[in-house]
Amino acid sequence: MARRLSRRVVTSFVAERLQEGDKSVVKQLAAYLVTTRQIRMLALYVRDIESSLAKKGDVIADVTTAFSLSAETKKHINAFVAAETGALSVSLREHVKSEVLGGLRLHIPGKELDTTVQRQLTTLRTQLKKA
Amino acid sequence: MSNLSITELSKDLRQAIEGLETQGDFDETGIVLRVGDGVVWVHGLRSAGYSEVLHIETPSGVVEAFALNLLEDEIGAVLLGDDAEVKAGQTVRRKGSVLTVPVGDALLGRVVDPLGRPMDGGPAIKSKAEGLVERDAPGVMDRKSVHEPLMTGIAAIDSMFPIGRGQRELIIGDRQVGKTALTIDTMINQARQNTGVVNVYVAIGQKLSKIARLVDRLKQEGVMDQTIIVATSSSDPASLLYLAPYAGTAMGEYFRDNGGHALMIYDDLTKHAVAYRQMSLLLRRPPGREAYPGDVFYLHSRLLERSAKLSDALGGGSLTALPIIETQAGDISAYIPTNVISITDGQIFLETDLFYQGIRPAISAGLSVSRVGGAAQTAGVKSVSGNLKLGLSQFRELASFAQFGSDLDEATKHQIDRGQRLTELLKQSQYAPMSIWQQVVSILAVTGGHFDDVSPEHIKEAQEALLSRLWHDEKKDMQELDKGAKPTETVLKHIKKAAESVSKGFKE
Repeated sequence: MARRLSRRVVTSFVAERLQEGDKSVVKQLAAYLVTTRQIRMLALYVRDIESSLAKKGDVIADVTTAFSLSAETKKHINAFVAAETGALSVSLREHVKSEVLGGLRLHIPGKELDTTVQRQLTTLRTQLKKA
Repeated sequence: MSNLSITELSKDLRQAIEGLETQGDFDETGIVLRVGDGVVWVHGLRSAGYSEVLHIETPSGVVEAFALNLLEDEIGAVLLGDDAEVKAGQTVRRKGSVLTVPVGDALLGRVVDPLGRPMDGGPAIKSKAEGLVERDAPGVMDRKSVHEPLMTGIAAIDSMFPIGRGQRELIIGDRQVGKTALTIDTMINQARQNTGVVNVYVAIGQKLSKIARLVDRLKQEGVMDQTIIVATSSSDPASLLYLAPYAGTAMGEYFRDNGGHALMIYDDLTKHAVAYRQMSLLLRRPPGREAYPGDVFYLHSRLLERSAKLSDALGGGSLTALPIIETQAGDISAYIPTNVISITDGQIFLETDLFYQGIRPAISAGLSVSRVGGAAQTAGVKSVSGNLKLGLSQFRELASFAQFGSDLDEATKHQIDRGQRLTELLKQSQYAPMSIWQQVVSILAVTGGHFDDVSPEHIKEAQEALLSRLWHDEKKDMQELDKGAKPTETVLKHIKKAAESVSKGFKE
């Protein structure tokens, strides 16, 4: 029986192939997940692939705000992510969620910048609990 | 002289800080994969270190956990709070530091949990200093050999198994044989003798009612002001039980490192090992003997190694440890007892049989030992207790042998008689620790043969009478004796005279 590979090894391989432009690897990964009964781990595989891609210069950033962003702001965020991570290309995914109340949450693989009012309230709640 | 203006510098710094705040910073984040039984599995956080604190963001606030299993694809962490609010998908961040607890004088007289949060209804602990929960033990060159006595006030211990400051002396025995009572008396003695030793009592998985009774008693005895209690109950998560002795040690180390002396009491390490076993099994670490993980020895060795007598260059402070281990049916060859016996510098074994015979403290003379305390024994007590241990253990052997026949030679009869008197003499009621002079006089009265005419059942009364007579007639000598020096010939004469006079009153 073949040795089960760690998620990190598999995702690193997939990311490498994707960067080389080999889209067939997606089908191969899907088949691998089905045969190894890991379909419910799909989200984690996607996260790990994004992580591997980010290390190689392709950053996918998720930005969450209470209101939709203007094109100018998106451009600034793009530049900010590129400067912070040294990425060669940045893809921005925008999410509008009213529960963040204000500010923005910027998530790049493995890292997060959270300046939302929601987070500040959570921090405040914890501090009040401790006191 | 420089033209640098402090006001300008302050302004510039403030601006720089404001600039930093607005720019923000990326935190390394992960997500909760699974949670259950106080253990959380996290995806991401690849740079997290062993024992690093993680913050899990829940709707009702941040819940702390600490990383214990660093695997290739995920991290296993143990929650320090309630797991009811923690759910899969929640964001986890690294705190960037290992666990610390508040340390310092502000903790004296307080009852806290292993994270330093007050449990006595008092105000929050305001201490500027923080101590690392997990910390390396002092190295070889940082130490000095144990040479100062730590008087327990229990005559049987101070005379036969003396404990020195910086020593680790295990207290071992079955349930309900007086293990905790010994440690409480030792704490009380530190206050009565004004030794300046700070007590740190770590309750691991104890009943809260027992801790409340202990606190009341310590308050009554005036000991609480120099005591810190780190309390965990059996209903607390295993993670808190696991942390309790390390957190307590961090609090004790503050006094050790500042040239002071502290006494650590771990009540008890059996429950600590059980809590660690629970955590390890939930973290899916391979079980070994009795289902304990492979590093259960290291769990206790790294804890007890932190107890030490520091060198003069480091202030000469000390941290003495009295760990407690509960045995099952007197079996000291079980896994955890043998581990801790081999780590410590001796053990005081309490026997159930002795306890139910009314011999309290129920210390077994044959199985107990103090490996380094001899060098630290008070000269006064040492001068009168030379062969006490050997005599007492021989007596117990002979006494059981003598049950089979009545034809005994004179020497054996004498040894049994002396042993019976010694056994009676070393009985001591709880909360009544003895000072040095009381111990010296009492032991001398029996070993010197002055009480040979007193029947064993009247020994305690004769002892009381002798002590009160000497305190009344020879107070100055007794006060001098209490300083720990070897009794002079004159003092010995006075004791002999008083003991023989008291003995006459009890002659049958």
